[in-house]
Formats: sequence, structure tokens, C-alpha cells
Amino acid sequence: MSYLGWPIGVGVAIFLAAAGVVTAAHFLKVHSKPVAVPTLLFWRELRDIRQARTLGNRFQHWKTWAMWLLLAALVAIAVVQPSREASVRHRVLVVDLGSGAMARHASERTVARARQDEAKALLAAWPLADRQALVLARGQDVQLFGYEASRKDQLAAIDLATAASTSTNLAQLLALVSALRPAAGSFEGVVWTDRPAWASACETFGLAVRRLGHGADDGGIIDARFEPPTLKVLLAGHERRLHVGQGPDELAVVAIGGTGDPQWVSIELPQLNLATRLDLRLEPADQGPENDAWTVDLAPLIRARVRIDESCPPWLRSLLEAAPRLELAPLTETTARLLRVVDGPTFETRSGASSSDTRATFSLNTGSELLLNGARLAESEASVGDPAFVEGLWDELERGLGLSAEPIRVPQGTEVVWSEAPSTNVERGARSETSRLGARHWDSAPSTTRPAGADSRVVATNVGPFAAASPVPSEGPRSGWGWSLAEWAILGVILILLVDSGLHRQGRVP
Amino acid sequence: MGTLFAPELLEIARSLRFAPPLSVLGRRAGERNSRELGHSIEFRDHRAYTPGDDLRRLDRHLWSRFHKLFLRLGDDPRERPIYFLLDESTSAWLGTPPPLDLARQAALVLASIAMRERDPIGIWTFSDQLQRELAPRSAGGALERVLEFLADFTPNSAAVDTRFEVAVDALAHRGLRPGLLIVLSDFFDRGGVLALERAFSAWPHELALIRIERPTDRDPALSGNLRLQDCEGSGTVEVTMSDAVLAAYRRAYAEFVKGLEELALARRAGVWTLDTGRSLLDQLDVLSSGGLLVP
Repeated sequence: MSYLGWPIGVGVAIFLAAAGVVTAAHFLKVHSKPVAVPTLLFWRELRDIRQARTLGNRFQHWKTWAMWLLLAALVAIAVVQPSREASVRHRVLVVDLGSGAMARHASERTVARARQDEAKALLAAWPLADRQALVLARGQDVQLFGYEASRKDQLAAIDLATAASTSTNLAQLLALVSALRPAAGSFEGVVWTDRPAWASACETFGLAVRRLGHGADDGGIIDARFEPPTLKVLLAGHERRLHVGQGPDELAVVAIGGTGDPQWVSIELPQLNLATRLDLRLEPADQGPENDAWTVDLAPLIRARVRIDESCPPWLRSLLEAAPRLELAPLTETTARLLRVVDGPTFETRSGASSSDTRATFSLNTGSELLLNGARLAESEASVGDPAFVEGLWDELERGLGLSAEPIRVPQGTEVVWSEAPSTNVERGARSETSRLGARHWDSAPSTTRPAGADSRVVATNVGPFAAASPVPSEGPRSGWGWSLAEWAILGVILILLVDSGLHRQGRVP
Repeated sequence: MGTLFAPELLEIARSLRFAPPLSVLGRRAGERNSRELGHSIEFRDHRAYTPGDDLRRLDRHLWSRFHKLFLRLGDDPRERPIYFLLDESTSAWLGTPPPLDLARQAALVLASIAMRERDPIGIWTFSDQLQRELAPRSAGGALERVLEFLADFTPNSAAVDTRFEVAVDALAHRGLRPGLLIVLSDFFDRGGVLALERAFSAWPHELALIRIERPTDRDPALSGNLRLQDCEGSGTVEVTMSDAVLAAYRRAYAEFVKGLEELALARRAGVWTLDTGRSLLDQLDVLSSGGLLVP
């Protein structure tokens, strides 16, 4: 059920206007001509029809007048009540506790702990009257404490949270935050992260980015990505040794002579089994205690470097820069795949060995280039502000580029089915109903529920990749029996009309 | 007599008489022919003798000729008291002309017929109780006395209700001789037909109901928003006139009339309706054709 959601002032004005009309009608005299009759015996039998229910006379009786005043008030409540949300400021705090947060920070604290402390301070400073949601992005495991959760629970959740060993998916976060954005009213989103690449994407979505600077003693794995056959790891800190293993096998040990600033380390892993998780372990050079360790899925790490030419519109460039699994390379870097927008016939690709199984697609992978359908892009430009569209576009591009767990085994020029499974920590299938460009395979993803904390009475929502939650209460605060005040008001209106009709039939009111 | 009691009424009344009653009515001899055969001098029939019959009525001529016993039967004229009950509640004065005028004219005509037939008459008026009385007198009472009584009506200063139950019950407990009670009224008792049924159940003798009806009773010419006031003070009703409302009123009124007729039928009585919109002279045939009077 949806309501008009007008501001309270409009609702008050509606009520006053309606009350004025009803009251005026109440005091207006119906000029009934007195006529003497020998008996009222027969007229009293005509209870149901003897008086026309005209506007002029039905409010004359004080009961009717009172009922209609109440009715006007209820209608005003029904109309206005949802707009109470509009007058409340909605705030969303996103705390990135992905892999980068495991690095050491000053004062022997991890980045995660420092980030958690600052996030708590920020959350506690927000006015209590505001509605606030908390998103704890622990890599692939995203926990949502929606607007219903109390501040106390949210602060406790920040305290209890631990950093994850996988990096957080930006697209997933953006989709989630978009779903948290109310339809009306002010909104403020803050993202605590140390990933510079997120800045522009977050700004596009109207989110402020706060960073925690790395101190000299920082150390840890901030990010990792896999561009087959190269594994790239972003490390912070001074001298370290990075052990890369897969199961019982140690694949590589890399010595890093760092300066304290984050740096990328590339490791060639040509024989890597993509189906198995990868173990990353960071040791200090002086054989001190191990200060960072990861066990990561490779699939989310797989990224593609792409370059674009002048055929790519600026808005598409912005979206590519924010795409979680794409990395823009200079046009001169010929090893990166070229994305080119062309105007031509609808692309058709074949699936597998069957030459008859052809499908029209938005993109066509020719091996060295990924061709994009210019006509469809032009049609879609108006949807750039829609997060669902952005997600779908990213999804389409990633599929077009063959980004999957097994990209190498798939022949070029063939439609690649997106094979990345969603996180097992997806809850309630809270997914966007908005149609997406591609990415529909997510709609059938399985989901499970996991409690947010052992002592938490609020169930946090764990959201998988690209899952758009919709936790924004669009119909105002809920009252008993799961009905909103607006729905109760509508019920009240119906009851009053029934009572009015019943009293009229009994002849008690005109 | 004035215009209310025109001499023409009494002239026409001379050509009418009451229809014979359905049962033995009075105990005194009168001039009316009873439907039971008696032993007056006017022969009507014979019947076979049965043990216990009055031997003085044996027909000696038939015995001498046929040697069989037959009784001579003749008319048994007995007097038939006629009682009039006139409604003088406030509604009886409502309208132009008021129904009470027509009721008084009809009462005069019927009283003159009764007096001509040497039947005793008594007249009472009522509203919420019995009001005035013209006590029953033996046959041959002076018409002037009746005229004087009927002319002496004045409208009530305050609204007075119609309560048949009180009036008829009071009349029934006066120890009157069996006779014909002629009620002249609009019969608008606020209790409806049920109240009338209860009222007339108290009267054990013959009954005749003469309904005095205004044209506006059956077809009210009303329109617009009206506050209908019961002239007898039982309240008001707000009505917005419409075709549907008028049609519903007519249905309710027809139901009332039908109920009154069924009540009369159950009492072996009759209902005669006189219209205040017409003169009584034009409506006397209503009374004669309906079995109350015969030429």
C-alpha cells in the first residue's frame, strides 16, 4: 500500500480545510418548511429514504458532524503519516572491514580497530532523532543494521566486528546503500575505507569517503586482485615476506622491502588452480609474529585491465572507473583489453558448440577488443543515475570480458555465463526488483540467514554481492499487528463510514 | 341548522334506512325487521312443530286441514340501539374542510334515520379519552337535541391525541345495551392498526367504521425539505420530498387501509370511506351501496 506522503503542513491544511467545510455545513441551516400533518405514522416508516443525504443536511446532526471531523482527521493522518519519514534525516555509515583493514596501524592497532573507533565516535555523534543504518562490510560478508536497529546495537556491532580476509565489493556496497536511500527526505552516507579507487564511485552515489591514514608502522594486506596469471597484492608496511600457498602447497614466497606506503606486489602464478582458495600470509622480515593472513577466493580477485578510446562516452568512462572488477589502463597499454563503442548490427554470439544457439547481446568479445553496442548505450544514458542499471552494466561488461573463475578455458568470442556464486551469507533474498541490464542470474541465488552477533537482539542483514537490500521503511513506523498508522487511519475511515451509514439507516442521523 | 347541516341531508335521509342487522340486537320491540323470524302479526313462513315450541303459535287452519302441527312464523321487530363515536382529536380539525364537519354531517344523517326507525341513539366524542356524551334515549328522541349536540363543537386549544383503546374501552364498560357502534374517524391512532385491533376487541357488539379521509391523506401534495409536525404533538420528522419518498408513503398508507379493512372483516363489520373533498350528498351512495344503509 502506498500513500501520498505529503508533508505534515499539507496534512494539517487538509484537515483544517475539511473541518472548516464540515463545520460550516454543520451550522448552515437547512430551511425545512414546517408542515402540520394528521399523523407521523406513515412517515416514520420511511426511515431509510425520507431524507436525501445531501451535503447541506447531513452534517446538521452533531453526531454526523463529529464523525466527519474525525474522518477528516484520519484522512489527514493517512495522507501525511508516511511523510514523517521525509522530515527525518537518514544517515548510513559504511565501515569497510575488508582485507585492507587488517593492516597494522599506529599504536599497535589494526586499521580495522582504528577505523571502528572512529566510526563509533561518528555514529555516537549523530543526532538521535535521525534514522541511521550501519553497514559492516567484511569483505564478501556484508552485515546491515537497518534503520530499525538501535544505536546501542549498532555501536556494539562495530565493537564486535572483525576484519575479513577478503576485500569488499564496492558495487555491492553501492547497491546496498542505494537501497537504503529514502524516497524522500535528506540523506547522508559516509563510507570509511582506505581504498582510493572508491572515492569517485562513492561521490557519484553521493557518499562521503573518510580515510584513515597509514602510519609508519602500518603493515598488512590491503587489497588483492588476480589478473590471470598474475596475482597482485597491495601491501602496506616495511619489510615483509609474503607467503602464497594453496592448500598444503606453498606456491611462492616474496620478500618486500617497503617504505611504509602501500605498494602493489605482482606474483606470477601460471599453474594456479582457480577453483581452490588461495592462502596469503604476511610475515615480518625479522621473524617476528605473523601480523597478517588471508584465505581468499580467487574469483572475486580476478580483475581485468581495460582501456578505452574516444568512442567511449564520458559517463561510461566514469562508470568503468568505479567498476569493481575492471581497471582502466592507459590507451597505450596494448596488453589491456580495448573497450570500443560501435554502431552496428545487434551482436550475436554462440554458446558452446551449437551453432544454432545464438543470442543477441549488448557486447561482443572479439579477443583483442570488447565491442559495445552504441545504440543501446545511447538509449541507456538516461539511466546512469540508476544503481540497478550501473550494476547491470558492470555485470554485462564483466561477462563480456570473460571474467569468471575459469576465463582461460573459455574460447574467445563466445558468450560466457557468469559463474561466480553469490556469498553464502546472503539473507532473505532482499534483491532489487528493478530490472537490470544483465546480472539476472543473481535473482535465483540461494540465501541463508546468519545472526549478527551472539548477544545482539537485532538481526543484522548479511548481503551478498550485488544484492540490493531494501530496508528503508517506506510506510512509516509500524504499530501493532504490523500495520502502519496510515493503514489504521484508513481502517478507521471505513469504520466511521459504516457507523454513519448504520446510524442513518436507524434514523439517528440525517 | 346553518350550512353544515343542510336540510337536503335530512331530505335524502328520509329515503334511506339501516340495513337489517346480522343478529338479534335489542330486547325491546322496535320497527326494524330482524333477520330472525319471530312471532309478530306479519306472517313470514311455517315450520314443523318440535317439542317445546310455543303452542300458542300453532296454525290451527293447517291442523284442521292436514292434521299436522305447524308453527306460524312472523317478523320480530325489535329496536336496535345505534351508538355514534366521533373523533374530535386535533387531527379531526386539520384540513379544509375539517374531517369533523363531514363526520358530524354523516352522524346527523345516520341519527335521523335511526330516530325515524324509532331506534335509540347515543353519541359520544373522543380524543385521548371519551369527551362529550349525548346519552342514549328511547326511540323517538327529538332531532333537535342531536342537532344541538353536533353543532356544539369547538377546536381543542392544545394538541390532543387519538387513543381508541381508552375511548372504546370506556364505552364498552358503560353497560350499554347491545347495538351498532358507528365510529367516525380518520383512525390515525399512533399505535397503528394493532392499537385499533386491541381497541375494538373490547366492543362485543356490531361495529361499523366510517373513515373520514382527506385527499391529502392518500396523496400528500408536498415537496422540498419539510419538517412534518404531528398536529397531535407526537413529534416531528424531517423529510426531503421525492418521488421515491411519496411512493413509499403511499405504500405505507395503503397498507394501513388494508389492515383496517382486514380488521373490520374479522369483526364482521364494514369500513366505509367518506372523502372530505366531496360533499356528503354526493357520497351517501357509498353508505348505501356498502351495506350500511338500504334504500
